[in-house]
Amino acid sequence: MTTLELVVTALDDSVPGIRSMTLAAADGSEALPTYVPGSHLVVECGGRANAYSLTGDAVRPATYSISVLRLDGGAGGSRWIHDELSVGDLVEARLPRSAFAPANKATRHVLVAGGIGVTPILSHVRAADQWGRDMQVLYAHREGHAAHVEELRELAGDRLELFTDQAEFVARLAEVLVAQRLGTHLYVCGPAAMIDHVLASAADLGWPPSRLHAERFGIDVLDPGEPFTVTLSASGTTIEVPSGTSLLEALLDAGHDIPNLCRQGVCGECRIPVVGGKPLHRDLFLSDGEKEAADALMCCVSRAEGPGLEVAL
Amino acid sequence: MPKLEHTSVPLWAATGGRVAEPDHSGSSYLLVGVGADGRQAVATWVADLPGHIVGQVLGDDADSVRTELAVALTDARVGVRVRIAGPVSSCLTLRGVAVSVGAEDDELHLAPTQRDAVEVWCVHCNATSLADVAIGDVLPCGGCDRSLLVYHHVSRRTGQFLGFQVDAETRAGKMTEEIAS
Amino acid sequence: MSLTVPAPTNPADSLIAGFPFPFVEDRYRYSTNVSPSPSPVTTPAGQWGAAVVDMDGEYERELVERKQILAKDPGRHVVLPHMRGAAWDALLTLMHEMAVAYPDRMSLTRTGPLRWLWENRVLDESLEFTYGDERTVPDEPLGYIASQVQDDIVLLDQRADQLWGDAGVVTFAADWSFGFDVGMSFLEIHGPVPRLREEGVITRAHEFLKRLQPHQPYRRTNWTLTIGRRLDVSTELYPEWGPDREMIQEVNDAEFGQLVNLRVEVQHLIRLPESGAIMFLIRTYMLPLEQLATIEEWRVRTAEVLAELPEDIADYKGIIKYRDRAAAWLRDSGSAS
Repeated sequence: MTTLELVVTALDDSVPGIRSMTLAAADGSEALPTYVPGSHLVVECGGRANAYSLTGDAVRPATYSISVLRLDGGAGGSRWIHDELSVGDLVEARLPRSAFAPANKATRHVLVAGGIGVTPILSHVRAADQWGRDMQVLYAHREGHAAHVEELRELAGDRLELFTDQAEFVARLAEVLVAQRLGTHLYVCGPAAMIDHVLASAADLGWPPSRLHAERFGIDVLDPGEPFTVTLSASGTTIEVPSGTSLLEALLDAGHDIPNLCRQGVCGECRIPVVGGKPLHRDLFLSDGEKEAADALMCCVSRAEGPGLEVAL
Repeated sequence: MPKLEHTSVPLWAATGGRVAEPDHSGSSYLLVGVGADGRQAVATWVADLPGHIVGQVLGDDADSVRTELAVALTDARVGVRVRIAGPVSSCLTLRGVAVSVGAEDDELHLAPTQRDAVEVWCVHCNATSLADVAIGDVLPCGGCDRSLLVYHHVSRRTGQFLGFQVDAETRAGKMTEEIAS
Repeated sequence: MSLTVPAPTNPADSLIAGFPFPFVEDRYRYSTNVSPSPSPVTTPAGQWGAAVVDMDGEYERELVERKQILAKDPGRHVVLPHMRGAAWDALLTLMHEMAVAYPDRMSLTRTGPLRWLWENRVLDESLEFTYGDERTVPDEPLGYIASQVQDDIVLLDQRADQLWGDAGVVTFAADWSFGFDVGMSFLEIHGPVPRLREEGVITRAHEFLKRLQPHQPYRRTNWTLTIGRRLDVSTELYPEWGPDREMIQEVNDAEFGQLVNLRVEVQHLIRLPESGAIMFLIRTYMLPLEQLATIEEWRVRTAEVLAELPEDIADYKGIIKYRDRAAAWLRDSGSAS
């Protein structure tokens, strides 16, 4: 059981550009599978698969909730959700996947959200409230575009701080980072530049990697990359991978059935073995050690460092 | 025996050998020195450190500093690095204290100054024996008097080596023979 | 010296019918032998593997034994403070698995947003509890759920790209000490086992576990030989069971076949769905060679495996003193019939 048949039970468009959806089991089951706070749901959106963070209750919930930012320049998944979906429609999704979990050993959680990056943070806040965990929340958003503020305020109370001014946020972040007792873990989700800033500031202030957690999911747009040639060991055939085309797409176009899911380098489905050449890893799935070993890559986002790669296909 | 680096025994705990240079990525430092050499190491660190030192915990053995270390860590802020210099047994014990209070491996630096007596925990009677032994040695348990083999397994929480009866399989038989002869 | 063979509380048939015979070829090496669970496996004697939590005729007897062991040695049950949520997660996950697998004997009913009613008709007990509220469960959640399943339970926390054995209830350990290992990393726990690191077996298992997602349980088997039907062969009790390894060399052939058991662990690997901890279940089965040999396929294969097993593995498994005799015993018991 890795596929879920869901039905849209509510839609909320009250925040401009953001559609919040509530989904229940299509077969009428009372509870959906439990998920780790910070998990995402991969939803089939009109022929594409997009991953969205779950924002609701995590333990055998009656419904799943996701919030989708409309990306007009995106590949179309978010536009499909905004323009095509109505209450009562059926949606197919994969089981929730966890890649941004709260640290069990943390004795305090500092949660930093930027824009739509608030979604996995809301899930963390909900869990922190339920388990009585110590937390502090910093949420930076554009004026008039703050999703989930009321829920956050209800759960976090005065532990929630909102920012619409970047300078103010940066100044406050610096104060917060130096004042955390040992045992605190930091979580950040938001635009890439914000994540980079938060992580760099924390590192400068001595935060070790073990206490830092970032969720970059669906935020970054990768550059199109340099063209390269891939050689398939089994047949010796070569395939050209132009700039702007992923290795996965090139392999699929050439008739190779490569399992794949998120196409964003997070789910781990499209891992293929590398036997020659140097991979340019751009995924968030492989560990640093695995990347160094250079014997596999996630072909949906990663490419060749140099003119070519040989893969064991 | 498997390679030591694949076990729970830190290499420095088995060999008393040198460890990597401590990192300088912290924003503050908590320095712990046990024994004369440990104090000396702390003095060297003080002279060298770029960041500010939030505390120095000095003592003659691990027991005399463990409470102070735990309190200092409870008061510490993220960004702190803990450096511990002292005999192997103190490093093992104090690593256990630091980890239990919430420090992570990437916040700890251990600098053993010498090999000394280590603690061996008897898995059969729970007693702890202190002896100058190496892995593979046998010592009498201070609690139940069994002959304990010092195993290549160290607890992260207590810093003690695992000891189990070396002759459990043959002891009973031998005793029967002795009685019979 | 003699050893009393405990009378099985069950007809031998039921032990054989559900026995998870572990060998898939005539040779055994450590491997990352994981497969999805549940998935029934048909054997010449019956079937195993149809449920994640297996209950058999030994259920009540083994739970009583666990209770006695815990009363004598509380060190077998440890939950480090940060594993509190994982312990609740384990409780709810296991209750759910049992209720689905044995709807006639167990049920789990939601009675409020975070409130459930657990009914175990085999033990004739029920518990209404509030998820996350320790006051609503006797002992603590992991201790309670360990009183409902035959499996030993270890919970591993994932942090800093590693897994840490930070909680568990282990009363039927095969030659290791859970109480000592608590707090160690997965790789440290397995440090004493030969070949695992050198051959990459344990690092592959580690990578696999770190990526394991919820709702997709896996299982693997492990095995050794145990003398007598003795579930608790922990390092703690080594002075009690160690002498059996000498004694067994002196007994006659009939006793040998009754006393030596093939001990199989069916280990489940489950990502707990809320805490994200890994739940490692160890369910122990034992079958005396005498009964094993009644299944021709098992007799022949086990003899081959034991005869061929490399010295270092046999030594680590603690069977080096009598594995040759066990192999010979199995071979001979075929020619005799």
